[in-house]
Amino acid sequence: MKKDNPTAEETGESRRNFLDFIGWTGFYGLIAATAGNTLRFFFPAALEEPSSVIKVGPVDFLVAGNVYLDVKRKIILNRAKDGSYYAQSPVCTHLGCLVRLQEEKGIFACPCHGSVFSLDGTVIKGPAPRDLDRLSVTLDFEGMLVIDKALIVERDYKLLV
Amino acid sequence: MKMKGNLFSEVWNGFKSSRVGQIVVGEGMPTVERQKLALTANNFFLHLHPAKVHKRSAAFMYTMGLGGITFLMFLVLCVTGVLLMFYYRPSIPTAYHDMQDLAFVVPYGKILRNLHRWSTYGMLIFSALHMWKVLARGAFQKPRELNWIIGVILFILVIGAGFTGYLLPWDQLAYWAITVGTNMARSAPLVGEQIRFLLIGGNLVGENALIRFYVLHCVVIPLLIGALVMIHFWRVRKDGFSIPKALEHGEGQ
Repeated sequence: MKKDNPTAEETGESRRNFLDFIGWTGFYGLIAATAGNTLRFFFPAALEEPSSVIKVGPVDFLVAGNVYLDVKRKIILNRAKDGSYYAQSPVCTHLGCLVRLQEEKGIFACPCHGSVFSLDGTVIKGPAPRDLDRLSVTLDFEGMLVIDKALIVERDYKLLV
Repeated sequence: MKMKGNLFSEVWNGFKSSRVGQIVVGEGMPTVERQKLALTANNFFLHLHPAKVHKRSAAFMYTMGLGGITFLMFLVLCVTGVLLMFYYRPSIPTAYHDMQDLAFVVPYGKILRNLHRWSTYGMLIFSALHMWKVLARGAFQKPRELNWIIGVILFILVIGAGFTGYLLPWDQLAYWAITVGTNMARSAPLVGEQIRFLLIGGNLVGENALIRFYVLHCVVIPLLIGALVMIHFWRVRKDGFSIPKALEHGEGQ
């Protein structure tokens, strides 16, 4: 039998319960919000890191069949036999060291854990789990070769010039 | 007291009867045998060991003092570390230069730096040996599980302190070790990338990483180790030393 207007004794609820609930919800909510923002504090919102866009040089920068490694700017530029360009990242796919060019052997070798790559970035010897990343390389309006390290492209990507 | 007219004893007695003296010295040394024993047994600094230790557990070869040596290494690291902080500035233009200065220009700098370095190795080696000894003696079993868990956390913190300190010289070895080490964090499932970003404060090991590792190395990790070591010692005194299994039920000795 339901009454239209039950009293507090009948429902077991009271103004005190309600205020308790509101108060504690607010308290724990505040704690959770503070904890969340404290965690957010540790993720920097602005970074002062070098630009990912690198201007390498004019169109005839490399002779066909040659390779260029710049350790400082972390880029590899290859010019295939047919004259097309493709760019690679020298960051080893194992744990992020920079590979070194061994021209006489025609390989890239990582000094940290001994991974070996061919000049087109294919893994010859582990522990690297996959080939070197291919990077976007384009010509800008001045006819300069520009690599964007933030844009990783497919392995068949080529810049035909 | 006996030698009247002795200047030292007069000053001492005067100090003892003053208000400051009463606070510092208290009631003075106990005279009753039982109280003398209690004084030593209850004082943390006079008696790091539990009040009662089985004859066989008290023998040097039972623990080899490995935990104590680890703590000694920690103290050496704290003292030398604070001294190094007087000269070292954690920023990219200065870090490597200050480290070189410490090695070649600052008086005693080289010895301090090397003490800090070798004590790190010592602390790692002796905490590992301490862990092995506790494991071999079965001292991790009930009722000492809590202390084993605290010990494992402490071991992880010691490795963390070593890792964060490794970046601070800011040389090639430091840079690539941290690049490789934080890249390993990437392989953690789901949050790997975020963990690395959080650790080095960016996508590359740079200024943010250096200051983060410095704060972790000099403030956060030592405070955590200090707090946990206090609980660790307190539990050793409360739980007592473990006894060789064969003796536990009154066999042998």
